[in-house]
Amino acid sequence: MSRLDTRRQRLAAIRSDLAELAVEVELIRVERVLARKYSPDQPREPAGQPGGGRWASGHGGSDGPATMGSPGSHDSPATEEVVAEDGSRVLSLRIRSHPSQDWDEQHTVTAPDGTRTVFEMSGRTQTVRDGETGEILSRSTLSGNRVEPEAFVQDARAPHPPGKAKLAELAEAARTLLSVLAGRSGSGDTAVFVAPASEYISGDGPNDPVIWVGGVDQDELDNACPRNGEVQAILDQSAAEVKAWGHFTGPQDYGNKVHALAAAKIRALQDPNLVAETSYLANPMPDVPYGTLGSYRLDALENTIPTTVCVYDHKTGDRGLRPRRAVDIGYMVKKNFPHAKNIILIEVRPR
Amino acid sequence: MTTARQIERIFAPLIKRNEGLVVSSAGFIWLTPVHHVACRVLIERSSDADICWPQWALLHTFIPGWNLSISIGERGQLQRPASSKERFWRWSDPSMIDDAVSVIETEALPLLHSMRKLEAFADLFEDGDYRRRREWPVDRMIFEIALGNLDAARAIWHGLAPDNRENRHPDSDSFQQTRNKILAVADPLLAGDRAALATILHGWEAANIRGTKIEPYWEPTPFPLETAPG
Repeated sequence: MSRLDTRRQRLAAIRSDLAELAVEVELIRVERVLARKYSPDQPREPAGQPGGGRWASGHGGSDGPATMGSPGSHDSPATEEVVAEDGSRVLSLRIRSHPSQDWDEQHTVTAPDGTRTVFEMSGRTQTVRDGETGEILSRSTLSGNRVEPEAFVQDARAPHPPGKAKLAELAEAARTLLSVLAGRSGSGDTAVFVAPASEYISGDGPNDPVIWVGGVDQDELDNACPRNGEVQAILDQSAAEVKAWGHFTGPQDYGNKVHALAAAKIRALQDPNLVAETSYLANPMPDVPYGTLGSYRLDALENTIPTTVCVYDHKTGDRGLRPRRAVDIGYMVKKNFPHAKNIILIEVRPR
Repeated sequence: MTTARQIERIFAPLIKRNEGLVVSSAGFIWLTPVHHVACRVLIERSSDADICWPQWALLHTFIPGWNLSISIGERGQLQRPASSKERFWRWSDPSMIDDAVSVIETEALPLLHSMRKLEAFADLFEDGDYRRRREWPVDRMIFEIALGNLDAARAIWHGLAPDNRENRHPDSDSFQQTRNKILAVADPLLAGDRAALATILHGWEAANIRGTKIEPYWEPTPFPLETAPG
């Protein structure tokens, strides 16, 4: 083995160790948070009863009882860790301060290089923090098809607004979280990534970044992206037709054929507000043909609501391509729909 | 993957039967001579090796910084004839090539010929289906200048100028490109200097075309800006 290979192996091992260490530190931090919410003297439900052994509702410490359970369950709390395709880790916790309240969620995204970003959801408000310093990077509330920034106290020592590199890290962490949330089944919600369109043009963004990632129910999704049902149906039909046809050589070929057939169906509609398989280069220019060297491709774009562009990213297998960078997606959307005020990114899978 | 050899099977009979068609870059066939509107047919690949997308494509030639060899611009998908049993353009379908040649000759080429003048292309922008292109303010401003609609161009310029006077984002490529376009036309546009504006547009067009395979077929011609009254 060459010295270069050995060095690469050692670096990969170090990164993996750092990521694991970061997760352990995060778990310790969560334990401390929960300890502050729990009172060891809090009454428990009697053994042998439903919920036996759990903290009894209506009683507890200064902040009331807090529980952790399984994702997708309405009654029980949860911890879940997922490793994404690029090696990022997402640790998700569901917490609620009181049984009568909605679940709050916290997701810690650890990038392959060990960078951590924490997404805290309280109701429809999401706070995004630097995982190392705890500094708030963004706070926003989802309202219809857009996100509204919320004021927060800024650490006077922190650079404000965050630099370009930090914003790119934030966007990529959000993109990773979207993929993980979209891959979960059972909750009935659809995971979306929402940001103002101006976020994606370098130098044109607001002083405070505004990015929101989380689940929305079908009514919310229909209001924000009215044709999501149609796009889903087209993808479902395309997947079914390709499966029935059977002439594909493997998962990659299957995925390519489903993508192409779905794009063909969308293009056949000849609707300029629902666009399929458009490709762009990084520099400001009109769209280019599929496969142009250096180009990025978007599966489908919807512009039913004039100020909002919904980006549908078709996922046809458990292991697909690495998610496109959020900043590239946003940039391409702005080029195609320059008057877009909001961008909503949705991963769509055949059902 | 759709190959150059496959595309050649569509382009060859077209070139044989129709004057003025030239293949310039991968997948594109151009109407010549070339003036201010690039009129092309594109056979585009897709993510399925068996499916391609025949379409017409239009692009104005004088917006600075555009790569005319690969930029598509306004486009329209060509559909299989109603008589076809197959809905999509599949290379595995023995009738696909004949259908593609027929649809290009009967639908795409007549439309492209009708769009060769800048004024006709401008009418396309007024069609609601292409409102996205209307929404690119800087490029729309340049288009209005080329048409000689200086009042309309000035209105757009005044809307853009306040955000672009200062070089607020030196690291932003998109901001710099927009700002440079606005600054380049500012003085002559505000002064109504048609000759100076024409010189700028001719320079931009030449920069886009010189050195490309299409240059031998390019004919520099006056813009409506130069021939319109007033």
